[in-house]
Amino acid sequence: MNSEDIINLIKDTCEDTDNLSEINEDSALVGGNIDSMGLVQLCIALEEKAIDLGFEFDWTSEKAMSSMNSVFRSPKSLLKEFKRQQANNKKK
Amino acid sequence: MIIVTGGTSGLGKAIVKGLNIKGIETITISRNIQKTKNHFKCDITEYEGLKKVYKQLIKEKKKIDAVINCAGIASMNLAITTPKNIIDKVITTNLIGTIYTNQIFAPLLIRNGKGRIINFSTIAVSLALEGESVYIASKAGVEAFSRSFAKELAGFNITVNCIAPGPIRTNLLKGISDQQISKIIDRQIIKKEMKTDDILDIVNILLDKKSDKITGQLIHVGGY
Repeated sequence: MNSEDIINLIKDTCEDTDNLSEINEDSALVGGNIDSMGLVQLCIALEEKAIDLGFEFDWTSEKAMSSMNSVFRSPKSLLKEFKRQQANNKKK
Repeated sequence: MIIVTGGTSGLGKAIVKGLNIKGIETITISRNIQKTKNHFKCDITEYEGLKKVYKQLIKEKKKIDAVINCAGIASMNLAITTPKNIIDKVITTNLIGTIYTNQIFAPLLIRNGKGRIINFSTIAVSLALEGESVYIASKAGVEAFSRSFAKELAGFNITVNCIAPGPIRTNLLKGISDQQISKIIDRQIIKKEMKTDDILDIVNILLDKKSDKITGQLIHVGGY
């Protein structure tokens, strides 16, 4: 999974959101371009992606809805978290 | 398929039986060991245990249409004389356990594109019955959570409602005298003791596809 993959995943998942056509890896997601419904859809899409890749993605986080610290704050931070969980899972 | 927590005893068992008679497949989750098909032994206060059930259902590609949360415990005692461990247990099971099951299993409904969540409260909340304050606090939390969660899930075609029955003769009421039960029934609009079938009827109404606009509601069976 790379930046382009995650941006495409966000666009595909949140297709009802108007302002996603121009997003890049630094665009604001939570508090910016996606609403809470989009966030939930994105969580499920990431979980499915992780299942395909053979690991479990846990989206429950105290920081999930924080626009400052959330892993959902941008495609870049989300990709970083996704890869972190994938790497942790491999170690187990 | 419908997930029923607490589905191996009391009201939950009656609901499972009623749904099965209608040909609806159920998945039961409870602390009891049960050698029936589609049963998971899991305490609803165990977050990781519930997550395992969720993962298993994803793995088996089960299509979940509804989640009915019947698991719960009661404690009839004055707040001032209720031991700490009982306070913790009642709040953890009834409120936190219900939040866990709602949170963990809702994504199964989201995947399905629609669904129903039915939580259980009690008429005791609205009546503010004395001697049940801790139990009432836990169930009032369930009512409040259900209303808010209904808003969070409305966009996914998922309804969340709460049923608040009057006294029903299950194990949950074994510590309450007939006289006390009669007093509570006297405060209902319909002054009749409710049976598990009366609750099953409300469950069936909420599960009906025509009820897809009923959400965030608290339904007092027997009236208040």
